[in-house]
Amino acid sequence: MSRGRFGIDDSPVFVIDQSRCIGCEACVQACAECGTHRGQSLIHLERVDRATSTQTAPMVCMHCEDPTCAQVCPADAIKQTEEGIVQSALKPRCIGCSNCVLACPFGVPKYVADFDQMMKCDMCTDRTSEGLTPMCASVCPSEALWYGTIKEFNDTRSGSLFRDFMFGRQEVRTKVYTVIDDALGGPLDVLAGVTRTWLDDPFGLDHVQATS
Amino acid sequence: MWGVVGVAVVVALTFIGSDRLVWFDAALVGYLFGVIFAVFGVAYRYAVWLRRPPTAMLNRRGWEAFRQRKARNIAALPSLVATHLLTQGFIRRRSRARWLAHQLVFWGCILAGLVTIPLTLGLLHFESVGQQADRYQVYVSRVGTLRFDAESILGWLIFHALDIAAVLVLAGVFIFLRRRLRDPGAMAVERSGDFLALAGLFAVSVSGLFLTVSSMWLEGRFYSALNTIHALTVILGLMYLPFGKLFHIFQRPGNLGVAYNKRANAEGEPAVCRRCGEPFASAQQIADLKEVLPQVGFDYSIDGGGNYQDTCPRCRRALVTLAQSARVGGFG
Repeated sequence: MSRGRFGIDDSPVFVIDQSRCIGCEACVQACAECGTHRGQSLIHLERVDRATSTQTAPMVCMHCEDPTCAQVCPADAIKQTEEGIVQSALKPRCIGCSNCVLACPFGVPKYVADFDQMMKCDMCTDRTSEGLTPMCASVCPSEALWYGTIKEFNDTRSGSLFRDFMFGRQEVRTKVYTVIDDALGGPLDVLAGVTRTWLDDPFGLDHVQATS
Repeated sequence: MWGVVGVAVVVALTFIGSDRLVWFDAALVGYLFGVIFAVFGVAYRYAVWLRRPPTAMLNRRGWEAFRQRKARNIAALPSLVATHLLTQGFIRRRSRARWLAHQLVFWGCILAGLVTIPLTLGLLHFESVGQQADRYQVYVSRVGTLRFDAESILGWLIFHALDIAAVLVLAGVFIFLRRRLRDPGAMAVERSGDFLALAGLFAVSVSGLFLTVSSMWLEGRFYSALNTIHALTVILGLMYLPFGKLFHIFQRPGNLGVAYNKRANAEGEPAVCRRCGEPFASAQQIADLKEVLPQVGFDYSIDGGGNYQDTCPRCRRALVTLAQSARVGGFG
């Protein structure tokens, strides 16, 4: 009997919408409960600039279609499943060089010095393989981390699902989706020089003050 | 090419070590072919592995780091080998059960290899001491070494070394198997190769133990059939060695190169993040990555100069967040 919420034909997707994050850290706690890396929280959650912004930056593995981490691994320790999940380093192979930690465009893998190996988010393979929601998405109160079918997303959320990123000249397509409003605006250019987002003035008060 | 060199070394070692095949045991010729195949396969795969751009770079940097301060690095080698390869504390800190299992399999295989490979290549044999039927002497090639009494504890340990190795390996295999069958985390990510390696170790150990059972308690019944089965499992195991999960035995020493490289990098210039200005890694490693990435099909250079790889991981996460939030108009 399946315990899962999703059936084999549902094809649920993982969605990360950083703009919704409220920095509660529930995901950080939940991540450490994942069966494939019990006790180690592998999700990232930081404040972008505590002095000037309330913006927090959660980051799970985006599961790139052509993962940079795997390509720069000298031990060939990072493997991708048929479903496109980029797995944590194979423990017998990883030699702890940190190439993946430094090369990942999203800054995801962690080098765990105690174990002398890299560990990273594997989208809770133990749960998702049984049709369950990943730990972080199951506890996120603001749905910044969300897991469900594309139909569910379209029925309940605004914005468009998007998964193309530009890092300098390098375009990266991921399995995990993000959310943007202008889907026709081309890949999400990470180096567009953004220092301020709508969150810094969510109600447009700066604009009102400037015009009065 | 390296595979052929490896085979030539084994054949030469066998010829010279067995005193021009005088002490080569023809009954073990099947095992010799297994060893030759394994050496060829391991050397071949190792050479292919070293050709991957990131592996070639790490290999080069590891040896450079080693040569840079040779005296200090040679002095550090015994403790590095002990901690990184023999005692395997990095596994213990992950799980005591897995460490125990790995140590049992590791030392069991080392013991078995130390006994069987020299026997197979004819480097090691036993002779009676004079006319005393119960006293033996161990010969390494034609040099006589240790003498022992067959009925003594030492004699028992020597003649049962492979049984001891088999018991160690089996204990480790069962601990591993328990985890693979019960731990939901392990079950979610395990692959068929994980079981194949355990099945191979199990088959070799059990079929070997049955040889002892046959000779000690069954008056040699089924010995010939059991011997064939055992030889088959060992030869198949040797053929699996270069291509399966157990290849990590030969990859893991690369970790020593990483340790030397890390030490050299820590003493060198740090890389400074292009966004926050903080040091975040070794400048050498970042420069190496920028050289390797185009070789594996990536271009992280930035129009107008610079490279995205000069950004620290924390700032990368912040940049992704800022860029995403800028493309969202408001409460979504």
